[in-house]
Amino acid sequence: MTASRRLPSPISLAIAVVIILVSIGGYFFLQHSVDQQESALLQGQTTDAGETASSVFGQLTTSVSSAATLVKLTGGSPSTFQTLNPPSAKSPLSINLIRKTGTRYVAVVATGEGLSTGDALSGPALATVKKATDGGVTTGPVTSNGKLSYARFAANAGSDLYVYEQFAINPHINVAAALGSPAFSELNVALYGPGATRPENLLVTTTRQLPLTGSTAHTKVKVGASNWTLVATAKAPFVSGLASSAPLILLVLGLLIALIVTLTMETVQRRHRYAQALVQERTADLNASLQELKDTQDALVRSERLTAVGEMASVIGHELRNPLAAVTNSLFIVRNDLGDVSPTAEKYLSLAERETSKAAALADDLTAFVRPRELRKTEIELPELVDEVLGATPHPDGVEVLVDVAPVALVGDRGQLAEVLTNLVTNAYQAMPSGGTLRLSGSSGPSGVTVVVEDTGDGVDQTVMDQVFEPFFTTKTSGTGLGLAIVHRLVQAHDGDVTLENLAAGGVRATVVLPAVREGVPV
Amino acid sequence: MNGVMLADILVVDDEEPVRTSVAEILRSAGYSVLEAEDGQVALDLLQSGSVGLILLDIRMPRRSGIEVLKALDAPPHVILMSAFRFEGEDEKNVGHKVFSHLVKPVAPRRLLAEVEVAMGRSEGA
Repeated sequence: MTASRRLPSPISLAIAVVIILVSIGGYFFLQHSVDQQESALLQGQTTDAGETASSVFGQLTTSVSSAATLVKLTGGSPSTFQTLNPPSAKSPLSINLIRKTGTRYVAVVATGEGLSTGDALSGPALATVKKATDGGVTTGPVTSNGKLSYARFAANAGSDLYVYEQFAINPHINVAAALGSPAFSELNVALYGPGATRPENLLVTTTRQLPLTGSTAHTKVKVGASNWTLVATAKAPFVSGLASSAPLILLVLGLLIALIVTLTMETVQRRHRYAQALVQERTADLNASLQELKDTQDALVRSERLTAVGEMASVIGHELRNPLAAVTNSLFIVRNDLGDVSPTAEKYLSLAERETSKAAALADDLTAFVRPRELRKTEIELPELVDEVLGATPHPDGVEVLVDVAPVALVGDRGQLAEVLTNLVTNAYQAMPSGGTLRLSGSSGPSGVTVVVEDTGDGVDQTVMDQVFEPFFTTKTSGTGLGLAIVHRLVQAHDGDVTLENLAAGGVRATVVLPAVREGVPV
Repeated sequence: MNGVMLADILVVDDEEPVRTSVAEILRSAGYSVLEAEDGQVALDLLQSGSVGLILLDIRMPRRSGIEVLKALDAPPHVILMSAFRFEGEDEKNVGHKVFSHLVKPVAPRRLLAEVEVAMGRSEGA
């Protein structure tokens, strides 16, 4: 099996994507939840801060209310007012007695900075006093020039008299320390007067980074009849530690799980694929083994069949020998006894003798096939053997014989090798009933001694080529079909090999290869 | 075996057609011939005298040709004539007592030639 780089499978990709999406969803959900908690806590703290501010600045309205009541009780006496509220140029809080004269509001008694006795009110101070009624304390505009912020309050003190209070404060005062409220210690706050939350409307703040950004909370601060606005952000997140990290932890864990799941599934699938490939490979091996087994079994069956056939042939061959001997002898006796016979008697006597000889040859073939006799090895000169065989097997008319045999020697059973060559030459002659050429060559090479017998006949049907060495297989109208089977047996007995092939130009080539024999080795 | 000459040739074969026809051919050629239908009969005959040549089949009932050869210490010339080959252990054990071996069917002329050589007789005698 070859390892191949592959993309993750669709199923593991899909699962990874689902886990990632769930993680991201969970991250946002948790983050939202944390934000909401943070926001609620901030709002709570801000409300507390607002209430504190309301309480602190509410005291300013109380002082105005008290002063107005005193003015009423004293009949609007400026000297009494001045006695109760001694002037102080340094005090950030100035309480003034104002009298309305016509359309003007004039300071009868001025006690703080920014306003002197006899001054007519104008601007925010005028606006504050003009709103004042008998019902309570009026809160005027809050203004800031960046260095000082002013808060204004006024109350009617009967008929044309008014108490006007102006409170100046550094907007960047340490509010938490000044107020002593823990609510302010955790917040960045900015307190704006009535109306919009603009810098010129700012009263106090704990930070110079204005306007406040990010997650902010607003709360109304009731001062007299007016609403001021407190804006706050958290100095540090209220929700902290594990709770605030939970969304990120969830996200990271989710991504990790997706990665692990993908890798695990990939590993499992790779193993699965490997196992499948292994199974396929083993199955192929098994099939190959089965085929091999089947081939072996076929060969065995074939071999056993041939053995059985051969055994029977051998028995028949032997059983024929005694009757043939009796007949051969009888014919001999009859011929001798009769002396000269009529042409007809001679014809049929000869026929009986010929056919008896053929039957004897058949008996030889039948017995020779199964049990070739033991090899009697001698050193044989191939040219001599070929001459002997060709001499004993005269060629038919019309057949030309071409011999090209090198002077090589081999070791073998002379009789058996002569039988091999005789069978091959006889087959070649029989394959050329209308004449042709027989080529017989012999040579020595690395694989041994090679003898080739070629004819120019019609060749062998290619479909039966692998059967030609089987006993009793023949394409001829006469013959036992044992010739090539015997050739095969005898060559095998010599540890050699014989093959048959059709020639492109027509005819058959039989090639016998016998093992090489070392020169000079005595037999 | 004693010195009495019973016949020129003893033909030992259980196949009667073969035995009688071979004997006939040999007689026609001028030899005196005795016949035995198995190895035991042959051995019994040889108890009473000797012959010049034995034509001996191998496979026979009672006593085979090989057993006959084993039983004879100094047999006359023996030509084995059988349907089976004479080889292997048999050849190793008693091969030295055999003049030659012919496989049936043997052409009568070949038989006569072989017998003539074995008997040491010249042609035409």
